[in-house]
Amino acid sequence: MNPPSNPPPAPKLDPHEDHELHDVMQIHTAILRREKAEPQEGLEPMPIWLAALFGALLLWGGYYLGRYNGGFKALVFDEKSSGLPIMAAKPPGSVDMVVLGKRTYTAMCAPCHQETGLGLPGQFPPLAGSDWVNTAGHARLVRIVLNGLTGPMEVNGQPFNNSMPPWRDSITDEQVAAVLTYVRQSWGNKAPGVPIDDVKVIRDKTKERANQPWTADLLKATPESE
Amino acid sequence: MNSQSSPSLRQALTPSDNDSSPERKALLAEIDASCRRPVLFMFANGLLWLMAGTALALLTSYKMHSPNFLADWSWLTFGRVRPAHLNTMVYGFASQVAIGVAIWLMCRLGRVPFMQGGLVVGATIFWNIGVTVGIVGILAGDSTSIEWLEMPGYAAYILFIAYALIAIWAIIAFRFRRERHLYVSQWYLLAALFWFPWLYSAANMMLVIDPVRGTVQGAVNWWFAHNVLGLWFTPIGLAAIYYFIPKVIGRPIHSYFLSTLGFWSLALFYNWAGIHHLIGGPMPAWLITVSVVASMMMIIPVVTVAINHHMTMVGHFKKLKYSPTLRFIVFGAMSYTVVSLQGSSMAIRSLNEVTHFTHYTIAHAHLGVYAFFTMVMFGSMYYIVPRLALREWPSARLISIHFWTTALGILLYVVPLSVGGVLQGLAMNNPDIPFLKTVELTKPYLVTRTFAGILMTVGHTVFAVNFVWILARRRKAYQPPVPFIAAGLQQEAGAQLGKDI
Repeated sequence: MNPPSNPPPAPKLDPHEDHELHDVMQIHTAILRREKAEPQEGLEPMPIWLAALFGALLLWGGYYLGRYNGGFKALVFDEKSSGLPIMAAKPPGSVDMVVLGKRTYTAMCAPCHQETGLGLPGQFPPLAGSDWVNTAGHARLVRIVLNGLTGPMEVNGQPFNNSMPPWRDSITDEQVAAVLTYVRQSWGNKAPGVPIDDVKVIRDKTKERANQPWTADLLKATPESE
Repeated sequence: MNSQSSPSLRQALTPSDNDSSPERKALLAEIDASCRRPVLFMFANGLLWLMAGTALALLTSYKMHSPNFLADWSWLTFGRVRPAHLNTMVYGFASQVAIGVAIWLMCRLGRVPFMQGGLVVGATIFWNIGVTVGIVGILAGDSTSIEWLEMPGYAAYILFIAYALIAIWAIIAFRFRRERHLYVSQWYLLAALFWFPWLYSAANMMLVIDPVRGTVQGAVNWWFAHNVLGLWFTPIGLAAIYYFIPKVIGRPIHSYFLSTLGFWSLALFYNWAGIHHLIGGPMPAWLITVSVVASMMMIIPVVTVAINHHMTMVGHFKKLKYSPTLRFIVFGAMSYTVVSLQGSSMAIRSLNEVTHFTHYTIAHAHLGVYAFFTMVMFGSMYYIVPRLALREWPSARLISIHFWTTALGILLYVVPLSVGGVLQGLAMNNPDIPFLKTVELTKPYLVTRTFAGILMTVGHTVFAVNFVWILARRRKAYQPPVPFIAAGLQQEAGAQLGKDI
């Protein structure tokens, strides 16, 4: 590009720099004079092979999105899954009572009754093979878990005299049912499971006892099935 | 030019004052004078942060292969120095210089002097206080540990307010532009000026101020961190390339149609791409698949922009010899193509399984932020600073050293570290290789990186010296411009000298 035939006039500058105006003007003029015009755009058309490439890319994108979308389900983490098994799975809330029971047992019961359910001779009564556990009804067991048990008692003919704390305020009906189901069906025990609704009924029925523990005699007076 | 094109479009694309009239030159001089204080102030602060960030980078790199170095003082442990380096470079250097370049381009392209230069200098001081508070916060152990957002929340407020006070004036300059024709650079600049506050405020709201729960944080984090590159640095870098290539070589951009396609496809696809960082993570599969597709679709804007730039340059490559601006800008433009295509490939699940969690990703990030963006910013500064400082660059030799140390430095950084990253990834995926072996395997590549870092440090120091020199130089009677070749070659270059700086 040729330099313009007329030199540009003095650029407007900061008033503070009046004393330098002459030199500055010279320098800036030189810089601006060799500067090319402000940029603009040409109108060349898009090459056809580029359109073809982009078409192929979009095609691939559609295929990939269609193939690996996991059914657009929030809980599908494997892109190769269609997402259908997740929809067929059991609804949330239905838990395996034995699994929940074992977890509850380990946290709340095992310190005394032991993981083996054998208890400690002379201190904590056994649950495995216990004549209190392997019963047709479960009303007394639910009461023991809710309110605890204190004073002398006999298990499988062995005497015990200790205290079990109440769990009424610490665990839910579901956990009580689960832990009793677990206890009644582990270590060779073969008694039926405990439904959550039964726990609820007994919890309401024994509300006035608050956290006062049972004694063995009081429990013996309660029918097994109420 | 294509003669079949409709004359009305051609007319609309031609600036109304595109001639060399004295009036127009006077307007340009007025615009440059109005940008002088704020833009030079941003550049100067940006360079200070560049030097600080470079020191932190060297320290970080050295610690990678010699972890006992300065490990006794908690302020200089790796976990603090690395985020301090990243945040210094991103918020102190890159963003600050980017805003400076954006302001100057906005005014130049709108043919309107910058309003409120003094106010913006004040806001820039505020911005730098924010960066200082943030970096000291990180070094003091107050990092949020969120990638690219490590600055503690209290620094984020300062930065956001300062940004708003600065960016609003660039947008006002656009609003009151005198040139009605919109050039492609202006689309990118305006978009970036809105995209950044959106990204920064949304990410801070959802991660620092009132954090969302669980894995959603990961999604927000990578949406932000990836978009800072793609919707903040990339558009400003591309705006500068779109401006300076035709400006320096004096020829229109190849195709308006390609410009349009490149801009809108970037705007459409980039925002989706960040989640590919979470491939293999506990994210819904569809979210990652969408981002893999979007990452691959980024080939469209990248190839489009590459063709547009290349076809503009064709026949003018010999000008790289004389113009420092063009040399840095073209290096950056080529790196943009490479880093973007590499980025698309890294989103492919089977490749990502190898390169993820390796140094390959680090090399890729530096190819983007440095070889593309930083080099473009260097090139822009070589063009802008003489017009604002009203002096010529004092030393051509220093410019030359700056280019070769940084260009070779970043290549020496990226290429070996990428190779090392792939080897590391393959080793980590092999259960027979103990983890410690995969760490030892990377050591030679990490040592190479430190050497590359030293080269780049030399380049930055040289640039800073030249920058201080041009500002401090006493104004004398007019001296001809220093051309961009070693002094010994001046005779040979003949009449071309200085014309295209």
